[in-house]
Amino acid sequence: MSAIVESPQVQVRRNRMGMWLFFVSEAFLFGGLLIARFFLWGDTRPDLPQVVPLGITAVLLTSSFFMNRAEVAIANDDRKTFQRGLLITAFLGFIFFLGVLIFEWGWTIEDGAFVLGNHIHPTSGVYGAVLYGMTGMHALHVLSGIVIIMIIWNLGRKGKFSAEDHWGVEATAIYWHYIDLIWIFFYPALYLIGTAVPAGGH
Amino acid sequence: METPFLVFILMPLVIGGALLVGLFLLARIMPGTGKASKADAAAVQPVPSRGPEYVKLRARRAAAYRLGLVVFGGLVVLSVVEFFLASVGSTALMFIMIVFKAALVMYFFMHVASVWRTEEAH
Amino acid sequence: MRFFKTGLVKGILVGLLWWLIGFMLVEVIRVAMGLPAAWDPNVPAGPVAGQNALQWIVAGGLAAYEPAMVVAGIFFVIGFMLGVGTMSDWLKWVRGIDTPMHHGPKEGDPGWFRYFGADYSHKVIGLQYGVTAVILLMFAGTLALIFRVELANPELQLSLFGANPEVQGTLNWFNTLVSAHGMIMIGSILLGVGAMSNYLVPLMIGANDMAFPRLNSFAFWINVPGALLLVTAIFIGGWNTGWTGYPPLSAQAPIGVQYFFIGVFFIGMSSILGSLNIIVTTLTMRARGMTMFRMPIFVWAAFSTALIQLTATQLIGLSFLMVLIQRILGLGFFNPGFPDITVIASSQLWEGGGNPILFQHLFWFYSHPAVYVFILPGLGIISELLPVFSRKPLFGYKWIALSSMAIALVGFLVWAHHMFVSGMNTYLRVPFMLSTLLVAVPTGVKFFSWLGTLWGGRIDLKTPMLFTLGAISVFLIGGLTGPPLGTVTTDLQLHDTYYVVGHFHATMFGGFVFPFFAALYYWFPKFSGRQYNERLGVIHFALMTPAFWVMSLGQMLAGTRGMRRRVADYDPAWGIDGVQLAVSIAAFIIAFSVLLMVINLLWSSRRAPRAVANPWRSRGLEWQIPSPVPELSYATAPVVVGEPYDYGLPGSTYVQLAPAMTGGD
Repeated sequence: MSAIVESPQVQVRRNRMGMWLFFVSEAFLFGGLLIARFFLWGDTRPDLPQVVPLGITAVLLTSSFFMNRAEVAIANDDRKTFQRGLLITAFLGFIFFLGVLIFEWGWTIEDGAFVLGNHIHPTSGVYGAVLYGMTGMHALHVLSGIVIIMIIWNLGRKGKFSAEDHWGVEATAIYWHYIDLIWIFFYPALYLIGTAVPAGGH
Repeated sequence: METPFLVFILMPLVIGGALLVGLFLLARIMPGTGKASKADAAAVQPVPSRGPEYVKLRARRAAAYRLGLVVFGGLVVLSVVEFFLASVGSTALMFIMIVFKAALVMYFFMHVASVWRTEEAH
Repeated sequence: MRFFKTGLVKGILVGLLWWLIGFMLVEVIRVAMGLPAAWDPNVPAGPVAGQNALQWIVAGGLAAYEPAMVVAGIFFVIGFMLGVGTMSDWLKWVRGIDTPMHHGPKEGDPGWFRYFGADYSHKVIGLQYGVTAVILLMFAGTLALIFRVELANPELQLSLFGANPEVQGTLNWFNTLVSAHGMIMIGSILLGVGAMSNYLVPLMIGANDMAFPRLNSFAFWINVPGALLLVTAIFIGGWNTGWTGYPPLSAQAPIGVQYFFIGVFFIGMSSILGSLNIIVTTLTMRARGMTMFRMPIFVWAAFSTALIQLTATQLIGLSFLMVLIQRILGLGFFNPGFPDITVIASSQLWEGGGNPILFQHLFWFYSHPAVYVFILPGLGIISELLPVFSRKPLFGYKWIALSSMAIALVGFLVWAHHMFVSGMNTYLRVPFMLSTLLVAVPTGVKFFSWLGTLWGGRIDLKTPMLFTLGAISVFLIGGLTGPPLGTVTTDLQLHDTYYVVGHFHATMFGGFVFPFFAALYYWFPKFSGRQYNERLGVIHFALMTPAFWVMSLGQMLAGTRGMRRRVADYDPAWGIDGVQLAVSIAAFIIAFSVLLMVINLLWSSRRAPRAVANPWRSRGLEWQIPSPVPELSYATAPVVVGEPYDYGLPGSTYVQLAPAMTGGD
């Protein structure tokens, strides 16, 4: 029996379309979270320190640049830049992830037990709920992105990709940029838009 | 609080809807599988390591890296502007900034146009 | 026993192992953090006196370990997917091992073996979807029969619901059964839609498989642990929220609600991935010459359905996830909290402020388009079958094709008509009423086109055609009873009554169940190669259709007299005893007739005579190839040269199959 073999380029076109449909689908997930934010917070936001979010935003943006550089590199047969770009991206992504978990959420050890949140708690009404919900859902995607980048880095080390055949890299790259894209929407929605409400009464 | 809420209810609808309509239009122009296979014959060419081909490759590489850097610079500038514009307190203004940045990322980093391209431009 | 080597059994075993790992993981972390193992101090952490372990679990005792239960449930799904083997190719890719696509069953395995494990052929996956759908349909139907017995007479009858004080029984069981009937039926319908889309779309467009066969297999198999969790939810305490799971009730419901959330979440994930596959397949894999407007009408319906599923499903996943997180982590999305209402109003505190209405917005943003997910493929089946059995061209092909898209798009703008009495802003009522009534326009286009197709046709009343006509009649009842619910003034009266139940069942039976049965009968020769028993099919139709009319109209009558949803008892003074009894009897007749169909199809697939090549003289692509479909559906690429539904027009051709190659290759 002979199977009809599709050429790799036809398959890549389908993969690309599938990937974008996945993004459209995810957009509704994150859009739902944004709707929750505007429904529950309205024209206000919690008055939070601005340094950490601004810093991790810069880190994520820079990681996106290096991801793009890695993808351009493999498309132009520059393996060294490709491998290095992936590593830097994963590293910066990990910094972002830690930035959310440790500095923004504030996981600390007190008396041998993990304690969460030094300024806002997940149980601090809707402010805590939406903040932790949105950053948590995003951080989950960041974590998955880091894992995928490391897998791709490992495969690249084994020489799996070439200028003509690097769909795996392209998919990882656009997924990582998509995570950045989400943060472009989330960061202003959480930290910039609306009048700041101080944590009164605590 | 009603206006931004309605805006953000419409936003995913408009963006998602536009993408879906785009895909639908794409279906009209996309040929069936039989025709597409003609483009598949593109032979894999070895990577040049010297000579005029290599010079061309180096130039192409440098141009691509430069483009990435320029877009990154644009995003940085927009982000800084956005951060300071926040004190103006206009949600609509922020929304415009967001859309600008998103468009940059989607067009240059995510190559959204390649979904519409039916043949590889190598 | 070879059965114990199938992917299904392996999946369940590995899943259970992972369930245990997840449970222990959370408990170990809790102890390490210095927290007590039991989460809820109000619930006893083990069986109390006079209770054995099983009774303790059924009574919801595991609620004491809720976070561990939730994580264990998610781990169960992951373990199941690893065990069933549908991710093995992806895991090999991760390690850099290429896995070329393998067609056909593995060597040395019997023919049935591949149906119980990961297989990448869309024909196998389509049948897996279909069989699972019918099993879930019968299970959820049985649940309905239990509470229909209770509702046949006023006052409490069954000791399960607490009628007999000597036997432990609670009304929580009634609510659980109602909720489980609703959600498992919805899962069954989604699987049925998946069955039709997966089996038919590639065949109808002349493709040999879906665009992403591995993803297709994954999308089917993730339904199974999802459905298992849904069923488990009944037996670990149940949940009393109805299928909608509104907070604040669901935020304090028994532990079963968590497995209900997780189960629905993963069934939704299957919807998303499956629909992604359908869209890419439809857009890129059509046969040469098949433009969008030469596709069979069912493909249009499946495509529109997939657009809804792809986007809207995320919202139900999100809304359920938010309640799940609120329950175990205390994030107060839907918890108004009200320590002092004036303080909350000025938003000067980081406390409270949650809003349950947000849940309803998010939930209905999926769940209203979801009903179009349920009915659009069915309406596509009706449009597909009518020309075949009327021997006439389909009336207004383009209008039907585009009306599916129109229903899909308008369906996104109507969700708040479920919320007229919810307390949302009243100015939203009228816009949503208008958009709701707008849905009648594309639906009306379909109806008139069906009438136009039937008009003057030479109608052949075979079983699939009978069910198609039955579907039209039932869907007409469902459709015409919709506007009173979409109109604000009447909805304020009818909201949450049995009128809604009757309307909903009429649309679901007319839009999904009847067409699905028609499709099962119609394509039975295609996937089994044999012809079903026509007489039993006609009896099935003759029992089910009038019984359904009685059931649906009876429910609406009871509703207008004041009977409310999800209530086990009612006032005899309303004078609806007779109606309720009739509805219960009708429900049993429907159940019996469905059983008749299952017996018919099971028996026929083994013993019935072989079907002829094209028993319905259809022009469809899928009927031009042998039945059952060979492993490689189209050995030579088909070419579409004409219009799909030109029945009865002399000299018209839809598709040309190049003559099979002889020798060589």
